[in-house]
Amino acid sequence: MKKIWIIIKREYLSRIVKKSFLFTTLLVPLLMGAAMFIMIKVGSTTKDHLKVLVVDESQLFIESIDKMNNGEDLVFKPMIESIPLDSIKKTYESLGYDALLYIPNMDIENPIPLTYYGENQPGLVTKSLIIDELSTTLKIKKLKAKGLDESFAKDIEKDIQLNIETIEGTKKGNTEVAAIFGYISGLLIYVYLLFFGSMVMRGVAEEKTNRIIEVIISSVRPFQLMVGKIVGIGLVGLTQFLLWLVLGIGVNFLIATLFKENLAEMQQMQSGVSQAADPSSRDILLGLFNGFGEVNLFRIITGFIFYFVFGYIFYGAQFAALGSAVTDEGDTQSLSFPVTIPIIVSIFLMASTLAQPNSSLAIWSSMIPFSSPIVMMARIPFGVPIGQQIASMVILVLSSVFMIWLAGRIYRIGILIQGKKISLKEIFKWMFYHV
Amino acid sequence: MELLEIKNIKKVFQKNLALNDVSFSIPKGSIFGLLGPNGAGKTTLIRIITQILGPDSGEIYFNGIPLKQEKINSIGYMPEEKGLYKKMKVGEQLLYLAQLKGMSSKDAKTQIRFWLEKLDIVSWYNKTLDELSKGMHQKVQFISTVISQPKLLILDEPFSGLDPINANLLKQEILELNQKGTTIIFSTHRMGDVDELCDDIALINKGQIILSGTVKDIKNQFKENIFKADFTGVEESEIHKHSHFIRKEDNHFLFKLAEGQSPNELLKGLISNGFEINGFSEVIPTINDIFISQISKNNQI
Repeated sequence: MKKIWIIIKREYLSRIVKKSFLFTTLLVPLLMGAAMFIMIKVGSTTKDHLKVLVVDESQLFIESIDKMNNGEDLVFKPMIESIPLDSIKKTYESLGYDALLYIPNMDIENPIPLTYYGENQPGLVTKSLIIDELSTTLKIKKLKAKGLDESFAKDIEKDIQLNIETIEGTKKGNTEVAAIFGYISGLLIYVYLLFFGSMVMRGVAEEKTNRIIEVIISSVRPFQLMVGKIVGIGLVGLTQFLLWLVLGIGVNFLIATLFKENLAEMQQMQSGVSQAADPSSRDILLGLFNGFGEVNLFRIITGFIFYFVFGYIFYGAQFAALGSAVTDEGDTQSLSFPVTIPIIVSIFLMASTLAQPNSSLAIWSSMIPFSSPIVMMARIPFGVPIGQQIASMVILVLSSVFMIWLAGRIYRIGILIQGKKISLKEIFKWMFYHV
Repeated sequence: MELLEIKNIKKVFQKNLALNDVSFSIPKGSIFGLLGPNGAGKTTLIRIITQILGPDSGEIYFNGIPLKQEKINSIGYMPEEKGLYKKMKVGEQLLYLAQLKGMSSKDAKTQIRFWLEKLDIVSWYNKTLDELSKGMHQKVQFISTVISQPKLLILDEPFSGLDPINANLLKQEILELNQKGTTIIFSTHRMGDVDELCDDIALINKGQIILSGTVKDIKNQFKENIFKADFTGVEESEIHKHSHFIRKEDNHFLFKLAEGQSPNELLKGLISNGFEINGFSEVIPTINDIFISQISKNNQI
């Protein structure tokens, strides 16, 4: 046991003190912070600051134009005088306006497209504001023309709000936010499995092609060396995750305080404008900030650590077994293929899970140990029945233990075979050899 | 007293008989040569002794007790294919390997200092292997093997790739360790080194021991009663006429004793022929001769 600790210590420390580790560990949260910073800056500057002159030849929208005014930033002014379009197009700028909105004469039954003249394109928010407001007015006028009461006509405009409460109960569910968290956790597990898995494989292959392996296994059992390596590298991954968590929360908090006003404004705009435009980066960003309150963060983080640890053991063991079969550094790529495929397939399963977290495909793939680390992490933010999660966890733990045992049987043979290129069939046979 | 007794070891690799009923013993404090052509089963045998592999049948006794995994710390092994971590510093590497042999960090550091000073390479402590030459690697590898002060040291081709000066240096270190009581198994194809260093040998071919014992006994066993003599003032043709003469080799004349004849009688005969003798000695076969003759004889069977 003492020797395993010595191995774990070396595997861990030799990677932690590397410059590349420090670099990625510090750089990733910084880059994320920088991205957030840019998104907030962009988010607040894209808010249009416009003064628009409105020419309404139809005379249908006079009273709606006032409603479009949004404080001091966005001002819509109806033109009282009757000036032909051609001449006002040339003079609106000199009158102090940034843009001209032309509403041609039309019949409410046959709306004609409006035209926006300006030096620049209007922002998405401005555009949807104009369309939404004027469409609403048009609809109400149509209903009135059919003889319906105006208050009824306004009533019909009210949208349905869908409030979601999950079993976890205490927090209000929000599908978009859950999807964001599911996506990020699933993707992070995917990256971790591939990254640290291949690190295990390279480590094993290095010791073998280096020939130091024979010196080491004349001091410790091959199984001890394999487990020590897997654990040591796994701890590197865990350390990195925890550092990211701490740094990430730190950066998040910093940005939240520094840009308190910008964020509040963005939130206001989001609630003020209906979701006509596509979900923008701003929505995702807001989702992240608000999301901490809306998803069960504790369950996500503990789930993440669990699925990372055991998913990593499950796959790390396979990577170690295949690494032991490497006889030439060039083999690494082709030999790692059979292990990376299920990981990549899991990412596709995750995508379908995010769309339908409770489909039978999602449930099954969150049970099967090959895909459960990624798929279950995508499901957890949506709320998973605790029984299903426990079943999935038990299956994964048992499979990891089995996989370590199986990998040990391959590893002890593989590390001693030098020279010839090894096929998967041979690796399979090694399981049954005795040494 | 035997340090290691190997009894009836058998090992089969997928229908391939690697070791067949191998038995021999290694006296405590000896330098033991494990010899044999490529593919004879030496590495397999060494791997069984170092517990990397287990035998299919047979036993190994270490100090009279069946060899178990716990004894692994008492065995130092330097494989033929040398290898260390390329990106790790020499000092850290030695410390790691010593700790894996069960040494405390404190003892290991004392030993590292001792050996680096002894081989005059203290300045390498903070260098990575990448920065050192191949010959330097070998020195580090040697230190890593002996640092845990093993009772049994297994060296597989320890001099390969070393220049004569460094090979000699290493040879002196090995002899010094042996004098301090370390038993050494030495596997090599350089027969000159075996003649020079080994007290005992075992010759292995096709998975079987075909010869084992002390170097002295084996040489005695294979000597062919041939004597060499040097002469002055004698016509070479005269010598060639002598009934016991067989051939000339490196300016020495070789004579073979007849059945039941003593060297003394041969010498008397030569003198009575009027030859003036400058030197007279028995021709002892070298390990190289024995190796070649025995292996080719064994291969013909």
